[in-house]
Amino acid sequence: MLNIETAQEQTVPAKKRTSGNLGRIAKYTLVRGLTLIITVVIGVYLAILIANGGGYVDKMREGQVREQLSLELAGNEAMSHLTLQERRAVEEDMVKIRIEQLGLDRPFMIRSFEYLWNGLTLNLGSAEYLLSDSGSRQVRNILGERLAPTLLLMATGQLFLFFISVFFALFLSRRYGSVMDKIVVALAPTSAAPSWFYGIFLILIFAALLGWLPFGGMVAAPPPENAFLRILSTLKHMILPVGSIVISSIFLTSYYWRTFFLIYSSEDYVEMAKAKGLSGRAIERRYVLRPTLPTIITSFALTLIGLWTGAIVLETVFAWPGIGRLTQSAINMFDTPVIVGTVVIYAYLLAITVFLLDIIYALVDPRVKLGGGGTRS
Amino acid sequence: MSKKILLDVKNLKLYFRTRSGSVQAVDDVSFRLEAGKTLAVVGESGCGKTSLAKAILRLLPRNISTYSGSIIFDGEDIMKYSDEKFRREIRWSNIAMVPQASMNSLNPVMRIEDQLIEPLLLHDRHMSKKKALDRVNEVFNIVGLPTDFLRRYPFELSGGMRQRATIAMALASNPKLVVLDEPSSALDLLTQANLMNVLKKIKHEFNTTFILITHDIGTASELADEIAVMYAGEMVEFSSADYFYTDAHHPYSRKLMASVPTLREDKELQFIPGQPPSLINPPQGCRYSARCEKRFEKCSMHPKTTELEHGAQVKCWLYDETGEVKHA
Amino acid sequence: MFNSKTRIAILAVVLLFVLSFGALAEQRMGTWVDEVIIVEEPSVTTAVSRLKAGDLDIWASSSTDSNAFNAVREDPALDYYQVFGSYTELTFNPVGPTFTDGRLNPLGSRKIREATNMLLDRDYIAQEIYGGLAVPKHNMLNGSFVDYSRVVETARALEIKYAYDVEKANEIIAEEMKSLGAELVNGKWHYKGELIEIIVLARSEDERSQLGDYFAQQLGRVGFAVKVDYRSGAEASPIWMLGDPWAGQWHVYTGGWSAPVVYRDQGHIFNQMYTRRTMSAPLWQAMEPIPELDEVSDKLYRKEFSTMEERTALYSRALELAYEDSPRIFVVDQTSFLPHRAEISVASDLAGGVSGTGLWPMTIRRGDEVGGRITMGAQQVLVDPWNPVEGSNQSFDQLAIRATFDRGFMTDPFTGNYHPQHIVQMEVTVEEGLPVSKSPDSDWVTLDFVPEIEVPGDAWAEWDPVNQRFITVAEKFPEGLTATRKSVIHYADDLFDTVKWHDGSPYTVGDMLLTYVLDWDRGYEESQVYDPSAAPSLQTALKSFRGIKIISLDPFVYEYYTESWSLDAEMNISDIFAVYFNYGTAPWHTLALGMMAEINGELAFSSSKANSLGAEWLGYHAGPSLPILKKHLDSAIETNYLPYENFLSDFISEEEIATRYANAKAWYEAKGHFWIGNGPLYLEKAYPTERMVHLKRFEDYPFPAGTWSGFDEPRVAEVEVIGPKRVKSGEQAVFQIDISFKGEAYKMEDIQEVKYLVLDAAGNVAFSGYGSGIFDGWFEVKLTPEETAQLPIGSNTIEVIVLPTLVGGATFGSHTFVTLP
Repeated sequence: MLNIETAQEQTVPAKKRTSGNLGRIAKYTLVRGLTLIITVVIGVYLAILIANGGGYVDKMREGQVREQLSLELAGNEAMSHLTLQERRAVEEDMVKIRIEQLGLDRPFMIRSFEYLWNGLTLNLGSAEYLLSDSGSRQVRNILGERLAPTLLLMATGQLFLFFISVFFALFLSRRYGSVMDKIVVALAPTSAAPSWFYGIFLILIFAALLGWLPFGGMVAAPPPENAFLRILSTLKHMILPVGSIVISSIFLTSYYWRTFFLIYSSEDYVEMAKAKGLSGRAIERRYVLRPTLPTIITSFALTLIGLWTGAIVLETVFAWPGIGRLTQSAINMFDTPVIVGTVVIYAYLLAITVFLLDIIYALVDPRVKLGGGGTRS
Repeated sequence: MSKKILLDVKNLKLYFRTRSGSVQAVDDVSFRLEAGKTLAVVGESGCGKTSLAKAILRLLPRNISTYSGSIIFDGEDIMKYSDEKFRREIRWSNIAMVPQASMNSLNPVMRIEDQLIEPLLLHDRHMSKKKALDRVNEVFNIVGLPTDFLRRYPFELSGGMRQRATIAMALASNPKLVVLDEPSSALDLLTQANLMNVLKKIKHEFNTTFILITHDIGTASELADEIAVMYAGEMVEFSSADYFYTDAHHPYSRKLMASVPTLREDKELQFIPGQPPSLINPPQGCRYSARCEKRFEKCSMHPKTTELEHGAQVKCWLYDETGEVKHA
Repeated sequence: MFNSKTRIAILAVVLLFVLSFGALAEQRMGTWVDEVIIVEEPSVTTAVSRLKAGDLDIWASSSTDSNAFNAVREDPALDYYQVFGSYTELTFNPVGPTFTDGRLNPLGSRKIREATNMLLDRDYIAQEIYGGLAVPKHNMLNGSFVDYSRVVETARALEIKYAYDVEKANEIIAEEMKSLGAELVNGKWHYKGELIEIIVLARSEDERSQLGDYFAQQLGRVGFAVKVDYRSGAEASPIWMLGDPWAGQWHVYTGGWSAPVVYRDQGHIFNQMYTRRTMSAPLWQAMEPIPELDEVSDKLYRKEFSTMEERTALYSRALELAYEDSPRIFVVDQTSFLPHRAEISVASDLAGGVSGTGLWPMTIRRGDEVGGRITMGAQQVLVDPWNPVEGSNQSFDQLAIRATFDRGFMTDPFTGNYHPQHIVQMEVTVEEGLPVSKSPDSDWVTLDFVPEIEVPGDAWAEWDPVNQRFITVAEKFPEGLTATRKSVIHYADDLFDTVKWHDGSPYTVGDMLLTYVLDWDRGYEESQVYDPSAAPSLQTALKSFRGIKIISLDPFVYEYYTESWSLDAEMNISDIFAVYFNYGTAPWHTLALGMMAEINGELAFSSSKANSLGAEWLGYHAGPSLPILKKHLDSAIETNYLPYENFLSDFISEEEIATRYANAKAWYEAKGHFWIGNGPLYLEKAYPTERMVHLKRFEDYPFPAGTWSGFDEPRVAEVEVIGPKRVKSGEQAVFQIDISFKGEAYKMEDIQEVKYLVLDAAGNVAFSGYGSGIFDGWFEVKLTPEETAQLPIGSNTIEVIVLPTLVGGATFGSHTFVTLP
């Protein structure tokens, strides 16, 4: 009989770990941070180049300025007494002024670096064409005024969707093959239709036919002066768009998570937990949900970042004053500062989220250590 | 040794529904096990041993077509229990299981001690956390693991240690019956030996009843009091270990014994030609007859279980009702 | 008979009756409605659903969506106004005969271009491609504008000459192609062995993409291989407008134009469409018009004619030549519709819709209701900041802005002519020989012709930004100065008593003068509020301006001397009541605040200056400008600030300054913004994020509700021609012309003229003339025996053109008959 005591495995004694840990974490933070910054810079610069077609857009804009001015001046009766030369001179003057203001007289490459630097330092500056709702040229106002409504709508909708679908999926994964499960799987393709599609139908039924809910907009016209009533009105206006977001994805998302949980439910330790006599709830929580937390958190974090880009068509359908439509206008008009503002904020959010995610993983999944190493089997 | 029958299984059936048909994994199995004894269930891969364990513990997959029979555990037919009652009263507190390849049986994101105290706190309302931790420390000592490993995560332990931790987990709630499914198949010889020692120790100290499922007859010999042989979903022989090792009854059993190398004898090893039959449409008659050298005409009829002396049983036409060998 | 007690009692009862009647009959001033809420609704389809559900009362933008149009027509609860003003054309690349790379350009040939007129089945296009929301357009005249009726004979004749006829076009094109050296191979034209491929640049955003397809198909029928290139506006303009035409990247472009107002004089457009004079873009500079067309276009532009007959002759000739040159051919005039609930009535400009007329607030009403709220949808709301100097010029903002201020005159939404409002009288004097005429109903205008107009020496000739005073004519032109036109403008006697700003401040002469001075000052470099973008317009204004002299301050009367003049006497107004009539108007005290902010570099009136200063574009209604303006208001109150003190202190008292700022402060505290106007509705609040504008009735508005009743509907004449089916040649024939509107006879005095054309079977004009009015609703055309003897035997048509005074466009009627020998 072999002595049990002597046959011990070699393991790292607990005390040695801490100082090594700190050093490793610091190094990781530095390296990771640097990498992310470089990625952000490259990403934003690429966006600038693309948004301007590598400088081609400058020509288009110059063309637009000339066309606009020509039309304005042609219809101007006060100019009717001028000779052609005089009129040409006037036109050239005005074109020159406008081009200077737009900065188009400087080569694109130089301006592109200015845009980049301004964007990275979050000095968002002034837009070239667009104005904020209240008439401000400042990009930070343009984006800022629209940000809150978009976040309100998207956050509510996506968060509802996320939490409902995850918990519904957990529920379904334990009832594999049941009627409810089959229904959800069968309905999953309904999520192929985008949220605005459902939005239109919801408006048709609840606003046009039944008249219970408003057609669109964020608040009643005119907005109630009482703050509390105003909040209520906003909530009322949120019901349909949030509903569209949820309905349009709920089946597919639930299906996705349910399949995901099913896979994890077939792990041995889940069987073991069942054998141990744990209740269904406990198994769900500790043996299915907790190990899958990293994936769920990733999905959640990415959803959060995506929130603020809004949903262009949905916002249009519900006349919701959101940032989605704004971004689309900016792209259509090649308003570079606004586009850069959008891209930069998104890039920063993404970078920060990714960075934080790594840390969160380490907290949530003991198999993961910051700075590498991973599982040892 | 008490003669109390802890487990009395009668006509246990477990069939699965698959696309090709109904798999008769456990086909009409009956046996009795006394408290404090160890039963080794042996047989080839795919003969239904693990399914038998699962059937007893009611760890059923979703595609069941038949699950019937009676399992009288400590005087009560637990087959009749509702799922909820079974979960609360039988699982773990009375019958525990150490599954096959339990490397992956531990939740990777929970500390080991948390997982071990979990069922204790669950099944015994009056158990405080401190008491549970004490107990867990105790069992760790029993299985020979250092207790500072309790604060660790499963991935920090080697395979063998995880195996032992799982066994500790099973023992912690002091169940009456522990079912071990191939406990040593993934371990090296040294660890295997260790494991057997641990089990023996527990058996002597706590009088726990074990069901040891294995295809390794040799190792089983150390621990087993009774041997059951499974073939093609049926239990073809059940007898005490002493008898089995010296003079097994069923031709298959004999062949099995003949294929095991013994240390001191100079044995010519034999093997059994052929394959076990499919469990989907088992042949009529004796399922082993196709590979049996001793087969004769009667073997085309399905053999009944014949009771032998000393509580043994066999399913073979070679033995008539009295247990006499009819044919040599 | 009655004792004294009874007498007193009767008197008392009568008095009570009269008083209460008087109280009941107390006039409601301003608008019929109490408030108007404008909300954003970008989609016409949703707007129609909302109108049906009663969620909206009217959608103030117009649409060309035929599905929505049908939905509106079919629903008895809904109605619509028609809006004209946009049209589609096909622009050609006229260079040739070959491009730089040697390819032949068929459209470089005048004959081919001329022939393409016959390739368009304009009726088909209007019905099928535009879903009925368009009428065929054969030339650059808009059928609903006045100029068309002036030259209708020529126009009709040309329409018939160039009617849809593919075979005829094919013959001409084939002959011309051969003479250019092309040859037909396998039914397709080739040049020097290469297939000629015509590139049609079609706009992708609207029906023009289908138009491109149609034209490509027609070109295919005359042997051309065609490729259609679909592009958005931004993508297309660098190609067709700014690109080098000789590079040959395109041959045809589907162009579109819009006329935001009802034009009374379209004479200047020939220059724009056919010559190089107006647009400097490469495409225009490559045009080579027929020399006579070039000459005639310019004459029309410079108004080098002295009588209307001369003008008509030039105009007709220009039309003929335009067809022969055809650097562009015209396709359809689009009509759009403006949907509303049936019980809502409002004035809607024929070209600009509801947002195109300042009459909408005074005319909008739900049935007979007095008071209440109207919810108005608009495609866009609050696009650009509101400031009266150079703020938003967007039509979407104009909708609300126009409701908040008045001009001295009002534009007729149906005829484009002017009506007096705060201006009550005008005397126009022009140099002899100019074809200016006056409408007989405009009794507020007088028109004189004199050989020479001398500008008085004490009139103001130019503003001096350094000394802040006006330089007189005597100082600037010591040798004396003449002008081509003089207008004497009289404002209402009670102007300063009745007109109030929304914050309660009474309207004073300071309001007129500050805006006038500011308009000048901004164009000079020496000024503190110099704006480079204002400089060019100042220079052009200086070229025609001769002088202004204020004759009297109260009532306010002034003389205006200038070189510019308009064909209609009524339009020779130079109104300083609302100088910035495009952008709104404001009292001098809020303008002063804006000036302070601009001098300080914090805000700017114009967006270009805002960009160069790096400051915000000034918006009085909402947004980041407000706190800055408030800050300056506080300091203005302390210093009793008056801009242009040297000049204005003669007209504005210290008291007035203090009162004004105090009123503004009270207004800002109550409403939270600085948009103060003098119109029938005031801005209660603007909600930029929610995209809503809340307007309320201004109770102190000087004009009673119903002042402009009669403008809620364009009285487009309905014409029916009744006459004999058979006419004997050589015998008198009488045709009756029935003119009505919604069943009521059209008053004779509201008809300007009735013209007729008699056409033969081939469609050629046999002769024309004028009908005579018999009584209301009945005009007559009498053909004398001599005239009927000239009639060609066979089928003839008499076409009647009725031109009312109440709307700008003519209505047509016709009747076919057979002439027997």
